[in-house]
Amino acid sequence: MTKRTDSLWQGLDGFERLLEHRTRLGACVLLARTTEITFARLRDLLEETDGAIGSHLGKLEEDAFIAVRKGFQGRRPTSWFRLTPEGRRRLQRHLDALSSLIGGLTPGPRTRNGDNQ
Amino acid sequence: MTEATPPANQQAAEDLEYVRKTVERSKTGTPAGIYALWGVICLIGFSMVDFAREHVGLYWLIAAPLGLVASAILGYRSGVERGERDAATGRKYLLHWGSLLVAIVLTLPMVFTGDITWPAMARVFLILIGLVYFLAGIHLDKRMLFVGLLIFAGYVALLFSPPYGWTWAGAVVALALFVCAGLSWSKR
Repeated sequence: MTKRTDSLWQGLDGFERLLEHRTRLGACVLLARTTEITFARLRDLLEETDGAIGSHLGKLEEDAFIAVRKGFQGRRPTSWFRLTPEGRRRLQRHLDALSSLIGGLTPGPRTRNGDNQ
Repeated sequence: MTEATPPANQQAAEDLEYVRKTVERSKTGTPAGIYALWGVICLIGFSMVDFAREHVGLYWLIAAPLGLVASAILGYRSGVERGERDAATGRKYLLHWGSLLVAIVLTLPMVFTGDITWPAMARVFLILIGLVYFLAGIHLDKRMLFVGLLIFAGYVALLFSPPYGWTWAGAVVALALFVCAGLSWSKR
């Protein structure tokens, strides 16, 4: 597993340490697009195991990014997750920070292998 | 041997690409049941113009609002079955299709005042329905673009007054909706 260059991340305005992990970032983005999502749906969309997704969602809930409600899916008890207003605001700031980080990237001139060679 | 650390901006770009792909996976479009429901409603309703003209108005007066309510229920249940509740999208769909009903109701006085005949009004309804499907294809579910275009084609065909033209138009629209239902079902 590669290690980030922490010195470049820190100090970036709006950056959320918790969303450094792409699974947590993906979970928050999915939750931002809808009202509520179940545990199983998040697990399937993010292609994670039960244990891994449970751990990520637990951290997000501890930091008040998301809230959980025990409910039903049909007759099956399940947990429904939603993004809190604070979580939505912090997610947007994080995405803005990421966009500004990669915003300086411009694609180089396109070359095609074998052209006129 | 140590692995090179990717630059932060490259990592950010990769993360955003991962999220983009995850979001793409989450998109589902209109549930198959809704397409199939309106396929049946249109097939019956359009052919009634040729075979039971006197009952067309009553049919649509009942079928259209009931169809809208049934679609809302089917959409909600499909979402819950999938594991999502999306009030904003539900409202968007309801406002979009509800506006079609409102537009049709608002045009009815023109018939009662004699400004337009029923056969002409039926063609106006067809254009309205085609337009709303086309716009739905742009803003809600791109499969509906195809349905909208077919409805426009049906309108043009009807200008030539072919025998059982409305039945044929209804059959084509219904077929398009059933194909959309099949495509939606296969994506589950």
